[in-house]
Amino acid sequence: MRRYLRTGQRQLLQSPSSDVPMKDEIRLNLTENENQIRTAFGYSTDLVIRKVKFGAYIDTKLLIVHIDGLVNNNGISESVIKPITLLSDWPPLTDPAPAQIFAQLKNRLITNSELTEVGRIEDLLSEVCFGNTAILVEGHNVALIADLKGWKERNIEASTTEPALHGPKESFVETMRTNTSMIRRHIRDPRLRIEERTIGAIGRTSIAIVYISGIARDSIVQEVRNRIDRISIDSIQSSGMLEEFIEDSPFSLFPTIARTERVDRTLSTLLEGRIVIMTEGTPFSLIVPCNIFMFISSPDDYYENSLIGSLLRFLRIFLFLISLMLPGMYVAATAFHPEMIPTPLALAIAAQREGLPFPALFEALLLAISFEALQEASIRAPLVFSATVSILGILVLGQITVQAGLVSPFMVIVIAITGIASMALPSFSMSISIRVLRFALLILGGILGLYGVIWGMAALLIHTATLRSFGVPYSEPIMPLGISGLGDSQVRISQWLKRKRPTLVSGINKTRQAAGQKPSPPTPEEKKASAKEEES
Amino acid sequence: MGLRANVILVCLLLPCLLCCGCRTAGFDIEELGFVQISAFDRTDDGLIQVSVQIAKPFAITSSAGPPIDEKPYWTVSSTGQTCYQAIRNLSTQSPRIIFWGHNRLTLLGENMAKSGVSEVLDLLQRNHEVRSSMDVMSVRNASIDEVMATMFELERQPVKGFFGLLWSIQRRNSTSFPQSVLELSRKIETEGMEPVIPSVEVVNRSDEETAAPGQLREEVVMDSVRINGMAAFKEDKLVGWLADRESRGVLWVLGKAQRGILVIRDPRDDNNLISIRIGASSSKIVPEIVDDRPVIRVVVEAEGDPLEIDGDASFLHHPEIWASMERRMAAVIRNEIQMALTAGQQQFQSDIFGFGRAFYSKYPHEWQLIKDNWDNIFPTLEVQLDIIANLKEPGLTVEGVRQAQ
Amino acid sequence: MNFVNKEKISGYQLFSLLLISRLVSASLLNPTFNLIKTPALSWVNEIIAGILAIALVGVIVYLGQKFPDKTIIGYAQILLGSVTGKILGVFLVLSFFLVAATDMRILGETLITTILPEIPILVFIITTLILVAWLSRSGLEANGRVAGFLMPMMIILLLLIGALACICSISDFSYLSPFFLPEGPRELILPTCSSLSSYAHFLVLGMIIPFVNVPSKSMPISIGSILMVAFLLTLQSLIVTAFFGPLMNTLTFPTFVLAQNITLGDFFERFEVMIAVLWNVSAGIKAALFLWAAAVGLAEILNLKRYDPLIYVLGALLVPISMLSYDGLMDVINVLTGSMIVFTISFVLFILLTLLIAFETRKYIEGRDSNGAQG
Repeated sequence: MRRYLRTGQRQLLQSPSSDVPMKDEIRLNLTENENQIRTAFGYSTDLVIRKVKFGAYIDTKLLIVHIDGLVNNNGISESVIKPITLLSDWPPLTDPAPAQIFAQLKNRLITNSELTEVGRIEDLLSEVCFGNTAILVEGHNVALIADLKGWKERNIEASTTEPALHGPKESFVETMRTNTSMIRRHIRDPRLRIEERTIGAIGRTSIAIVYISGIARDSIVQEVRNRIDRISIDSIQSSGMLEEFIEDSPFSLFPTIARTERVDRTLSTLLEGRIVIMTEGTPFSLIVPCNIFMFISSPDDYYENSLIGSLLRFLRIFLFLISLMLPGMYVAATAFHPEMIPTPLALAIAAQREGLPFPALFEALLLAISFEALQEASIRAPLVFSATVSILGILVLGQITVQAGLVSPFMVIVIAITGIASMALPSFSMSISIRVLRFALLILGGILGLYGVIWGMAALLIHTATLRSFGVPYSEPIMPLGISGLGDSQVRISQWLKRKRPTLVSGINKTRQAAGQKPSPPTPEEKKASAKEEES
Repeated sequence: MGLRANVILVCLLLPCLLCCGCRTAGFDIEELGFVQISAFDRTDDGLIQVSVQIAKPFAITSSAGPPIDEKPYWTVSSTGQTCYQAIRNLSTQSPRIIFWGHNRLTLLGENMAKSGVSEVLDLLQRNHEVRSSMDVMSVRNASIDEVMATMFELERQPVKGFFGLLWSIQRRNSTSFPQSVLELSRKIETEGMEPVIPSVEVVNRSDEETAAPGQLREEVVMDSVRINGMAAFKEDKLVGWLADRESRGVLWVLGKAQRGILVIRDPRDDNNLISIRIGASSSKIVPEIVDDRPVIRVVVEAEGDPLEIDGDASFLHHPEIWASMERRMAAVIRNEIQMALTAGQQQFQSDIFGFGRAFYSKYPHEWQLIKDNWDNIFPTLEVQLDIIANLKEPGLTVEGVRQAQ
Repeated sequence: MNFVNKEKISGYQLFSLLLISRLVSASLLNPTFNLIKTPALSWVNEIIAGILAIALVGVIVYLGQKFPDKTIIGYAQILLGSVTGKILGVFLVLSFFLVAATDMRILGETLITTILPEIPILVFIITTLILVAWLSRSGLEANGRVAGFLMPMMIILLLLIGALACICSISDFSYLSPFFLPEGPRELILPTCSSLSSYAHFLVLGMIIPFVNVPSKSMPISIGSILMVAFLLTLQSLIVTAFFGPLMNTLTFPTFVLAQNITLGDFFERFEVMIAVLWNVSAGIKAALFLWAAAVGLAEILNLKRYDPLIYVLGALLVPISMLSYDGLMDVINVLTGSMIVFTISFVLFILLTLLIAFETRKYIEGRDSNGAQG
């Protein structure tokens, strides 16, 4: 891992405590080393340094360094301290030189599976920070590092942000290793590659690039590596920060990187040839390259009949358009094109708007902003206030504003439908960008009528047509038309029909499965054959 | 596409939005007066009069609210030298912007129709707000104000009432047929074909209705309207009125008489009447040239079901009587068509049947020679009628209630 | 030519671009209809124009395939020599530019006549131009994608409106007979030329062909798109005639009025807004295509390395040009039914014949030379 730290990051690392000569090699003198480590950590209380003697007969001292809370205490006592104190005497060492002791420790005594050596204080410190345990030997200038990490982590629970009725419940947790293990458990093939990087000179967050070699396209994998290696920052706290550094167009409102909490979704995207980026401390995996249809698909589509899955997707596309355009269209129609509305409806709207103080545009803005406030309040407000928020929302927004003659009931209906439609979209990152765009279209519709709405939609169309996610067109199976990708875009075709992976994303291995797997009842010949078998 | 380009775009866009922001078009839907029915006529001093019924949205009862005892429309009229000027003069009286996008019916006054309707049609088609699919009717024996003032007992909005009438006449009687502004102007423009449009008249019920003995008259009896046959045009000018049966004659020829009742006499007993419901019909106009003279043969095929049999119904078992009934039905149809032909050829001298058009379709070269003379040829044109009538179903009963002998 | 190999469009995208850019000049404002004398036979000239257009496009593609990595301006410089080729190139760029300007103006005029009469035309032209410039700066690839997305929608919408018009009670198919021209076949000449002059915009193919990913496919695809366009236009003529009868040649926006008059189940009315909207977007695609062609051509004439900076300059110029070149809708129609037909057809014929003759002469001389060398 350390070899990925670039010089810039090293400089960042040194700056906070430049008085400590950390570039130094590990000294022979154990006390000096101890002082150095303690000074480097500024006498932090969670630093644990234990001095032990190597067995009963040899006086050579050993230093065991780790950080409390990051290590498995049982493991340390079982595989480090116990062997050193109890088992080091037999067979007795012929030559109690530090090098011999070191070799003995490394080869025989320490029973931990992952054991490395470091020669420099700086590296030792960083290993200790990662939760490893360092063992120094008096008179020897190389330290042993034992991987005995262990800390409290959240249990694997059902996904809360992407609930699915059927299908596996497990979702990612904050510990990256657990997450990669969940992936590995489902894809039992050495071609599943997990490449790790450490980002952040101070935070030193681990980031894993997960892909299936051969199925993922090499050029895209390389692009991901390049973009991640380019980051030079002090610390990355979550994958959201990482996204901002690696996405294609930072000013686009559309998410060009998909996030998911669900393991099954991650697995299926891996098998399409996409690349998953995991960040230590974030229970979401990032999926690149992604296309716009990944934001309207839900895992449930795959656990139901393909016809139902496809219809659900059509419904979501419709809801996507509704939540984007409905307020704008409504304002445009009432203010510019009353002839578009069927006569009885037009008269009803006119009757309801009678005596309202605001023009339609402001009425819509007023309600839409209140709706946004309500939505934001219900997410942010502490649980104890939720009742207050909903009562205020229902009573004041829904009823009193209409009764007070501030807004018309039709506008309340329009905004409510819009709100419901945007909540029915499976991806929050998409529905949040729709929320912004909806206002833009509303204002355009209020200024230029339907032309304005369509102008906005055309602008979005051009934008999505030019947008790319890691070099792959964002609206890929539609613009440009990709026949093999179409099966899993607006529609979801049956699993046995999905023979190919998406063309623009996948690597050499493009065939997913064999042809002709459509299930059918046994043919008469097959029936005969099985009957014969039964007889015999 | 870098950030700079986006900034340039936004800089270009903002002034545009600002300059539309102060648009002059600012109206909202409640500031519009929705025209529901419009009517055009020519006053005696040569001006054009426009009357419109504008909806009062606040007075239309919704399903939720209590019924409002108020007319849900407002009738207003104005005059001007041209139609458009007259329309614009309406705005001196209307506080709301008059909006034509929901106008579905227009009425043409008798004076206007007689002096030519082309300028109204031009106005209605040139304006983008107006839908040219709206229905057009001609007012008979009344001024447009009288028609506009009548109310329907069953409908609060007169426009719904008029549509109900048009609908029921088309589905029930076939004595008239809805025509849109587009169809009217299309027929005016078509060579060898003249338009007919439904005509509406006022029924003055307060005169004819007297209080029945022993009954108190509680309701104020209002005038009502009814659709009475059709108006025949020549080019864009009204030339005469077709009564109910005459207009059905025209519709037989045009193949549009699909519903309605024919009354025939019982083949065995002329005193008994039988009602036949027209089921479906088709027509074919076959132009021929016999001895260098144009001759028209009209083939009408009609189906019908006997629905009311006055007297002994046992004959339904006898095919020969069935056949003679069919012959009588054909005779009634022939009679209706003859009435229409007389009206069209002799009275109005207007080719409302589209015979000229049929000639053009079949004999385009010959038509070029006679088309300028068609007005003279048409009144004396020989028309042969081939009527094929079929009776189909007897209804729910075979033999009806026996009459006491 | 350093920008040719950067972008590639697929055959489907080429098809969509051609189809949209031709249908745009026919689906709302269709000056061809105003030239028709016998409505019953309005469809005949569309078929004839389609056949003639195949020959026209055949020549363009034939020449383009002989120089697979050169645009028409590029090989004009080879065939006619640098200076003459550049002069021809300037004319071509001007014509592309003019097509884009006319397109923008028609778009603006349509919007103010049909849906939004209260808003000044300049607003429409400028706002649309922002999108057009953006799209054409994003390159042919982006334009091809957008066109490929909209093309099926456009066809489906046109077919839907056609189907609804057919079942509408107003339609009267007897207006399609007889098969007779009162003034003889010469009646067909003017409408056919008018339709053909819209096909002549396919000269832009000369700029696109080097960007097609499989150059050998551009011939069948171009011809296929013409067949599709001719089919749709014929259908349009038939339906408009059945709907309007003798009125069809008097309307400025026949398809618009047609859509205005059809209903689906008495509730879904006013399809004209959808038509206007889709047409609007398609007109943007066409304008972007021609703006792109003009910019690429100009860059090639001036030997520039990149064409995209030119697009904003040319795009900004489009506003005054489109505003100044016509007085109003009537002027647009008069020009499109008059001088524009003569100009376009003679211009395209001149360009194509010059290039074809130059190419054939060159081939002949080269063949003779090589024969001579062998002998």
